[in-house]
Amino acid sequence: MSGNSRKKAGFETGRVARERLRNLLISDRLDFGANVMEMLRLDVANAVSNYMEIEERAVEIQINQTITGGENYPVLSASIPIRRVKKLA
Amino acid sequence: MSEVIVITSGKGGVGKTTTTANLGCGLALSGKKTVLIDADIGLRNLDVVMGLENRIVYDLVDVIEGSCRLRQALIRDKRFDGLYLLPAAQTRDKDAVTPEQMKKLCKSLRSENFDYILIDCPAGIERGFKNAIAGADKAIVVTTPEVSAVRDADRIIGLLEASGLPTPQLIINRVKIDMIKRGDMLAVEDVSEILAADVLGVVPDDEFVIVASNRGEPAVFSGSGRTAAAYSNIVRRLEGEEVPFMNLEKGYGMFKRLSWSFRKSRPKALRGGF
Repeated sequence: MSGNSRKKAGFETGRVARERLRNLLISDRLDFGANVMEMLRLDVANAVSNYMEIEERAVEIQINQTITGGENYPVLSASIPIRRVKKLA
Repeated sequence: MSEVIVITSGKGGVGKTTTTANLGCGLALSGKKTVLIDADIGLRNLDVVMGLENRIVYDLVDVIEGSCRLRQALIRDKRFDGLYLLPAAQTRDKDAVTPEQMKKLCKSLRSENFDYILIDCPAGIERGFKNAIAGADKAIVVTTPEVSAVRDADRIIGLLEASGLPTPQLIINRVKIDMIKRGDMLAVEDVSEILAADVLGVVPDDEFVIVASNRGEPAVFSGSGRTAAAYSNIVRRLEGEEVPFMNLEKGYGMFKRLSWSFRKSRPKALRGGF
């Protein structure tokens, strides 16, 4: 297998290790228990449900490392399935 | 003025004891009066890596409990001027010593006019770790370029900083340059960036380290080879000298040629076997 196709196929395991470590260390450093993440998840779901109808049980949140403008930041992202957008009164 | 440096890692088996032995010998070779403390009470190893296991009479716990004087427990290494070992107790456990007692021990060693006091820390983050770092001025974190070791190093760095020590420097051990070139190993810069810590040294993965430990002679003692050079460079950096990082690829050509010539003769035998 040539070097190029190795890269494309994600065979460079050093890079895999780097990405896994970056994400792993974010949660290690935050020192959030599963409890705290669940509280955050419920709060996010609650806040959003004031504006739209969502599938509250399917809400997922995670914290990952993302490169923004050349800098590494941990980023909190949420996946929130929307059932219906409410009209604000 | 003595400098007390703890050598730690979190994860076991990454080379703390070997690193401590080699840095100690290197410092002694450069004329520094140095004592190595084995803080791994119950699982002592530094004595065997140093080849001094037959000379132990008293140990660290004897000193702390007042069963002997400090000087009686210090083993002088006859091969290196100014190098001493304070062995750990083998039949006790970590709870035989408190962090306060370790601080006191370091204080007594400081008054013995050592230039360097190196503490070989046990693996883990419990009592043994807390004992080992209690009297230290600074820390060196040893890691290998593996996810598990780097993760533990990160945790250890957090704990060291929380206990008021400055951000430690890293020694990245067992680096395989051919694997990095292939993209199959975390690069030195990756580890340094992920851990947000400076690199004090990089030590190549080298069978000679095992050969040396079989003999009870730290690798730096042999004086030749890339590993000995890597440790000598670390010693010079510890003493404040600016030493450029060794080009680990130097000799790579020869290594490659060698491994190629092995490959040429071995595949047939291997194919059937694996």
